[in-house]
Amino acid sequence: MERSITVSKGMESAPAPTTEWVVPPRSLDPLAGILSYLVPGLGQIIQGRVAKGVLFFFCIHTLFFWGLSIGQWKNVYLPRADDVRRFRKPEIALGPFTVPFPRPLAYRVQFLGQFWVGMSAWPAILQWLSFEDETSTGFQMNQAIVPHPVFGMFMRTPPEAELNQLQTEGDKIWELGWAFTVIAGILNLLVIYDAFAGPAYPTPSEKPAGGKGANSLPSNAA
Amino acid sequence: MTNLFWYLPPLFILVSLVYSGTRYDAWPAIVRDAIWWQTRLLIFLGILGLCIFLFSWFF
Repeated sequence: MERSITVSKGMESAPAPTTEWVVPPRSLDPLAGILSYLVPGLGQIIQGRVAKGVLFFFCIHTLFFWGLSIGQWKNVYLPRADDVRRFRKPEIALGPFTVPFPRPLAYRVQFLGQFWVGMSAWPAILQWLSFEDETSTGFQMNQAIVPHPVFGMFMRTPPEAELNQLQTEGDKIWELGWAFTVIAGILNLLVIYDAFAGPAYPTPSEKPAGGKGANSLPSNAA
Repeated sequence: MTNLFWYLPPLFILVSLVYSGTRYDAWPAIVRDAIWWQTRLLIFLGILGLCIFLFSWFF
């Protein structure tokens, strides 16, 4: 699995010798893609593009945790929503087929974007996996809430009364917060692709293709 | 109450830096592209804000 891009120079002037800049073939790197999913920028760091990896790490995490903090740490969660009637059997219509859709994501579709920020969003999944009924998730009002042994209430679905309060009595900052976390997740998809297949516009090689016109490259490039 | 618009400039900077970082490997190209994207975002949202302001002014 290799790809190469050829950039032609000097094609517009017929008498001038044609020089080709060739982007060296780059192997696709699935491992770096996975690492960049787990920790944004880690794939680039492993590949030796350390500064870029650190830039991605800093920017994605700043956006994600900033959004989380202005949302009072209560806007990244995965609810069970077992008792929500309209999400009892969520489906997506794809032409003649109807595909079942996970109920938590149907209720909290924002998590589809937040998920791609990597391990930073996993406490929400662990919270979802750890508690099997509505009582322990605290989704219902006036019910006992059992904190997670490791994460406590971090990324736990807030009680419905609290969610209503956050959304109705705030100044839209809570909503802005989850938008930031979703943007961070979507941006990390680009970072994952960059680690997997390289940047969208790779830097061309300084050597011309096939050695033809090697000596004339600097003058042509200018 | 904090004005929501104060949250936009840092958002522009972070988003454009990451986006440009995935388009180029060379730092000068990344920074140039990021600044260009920030300008485009500012112009687009500025026009949008002006339209909304004019609507609220006249109607």
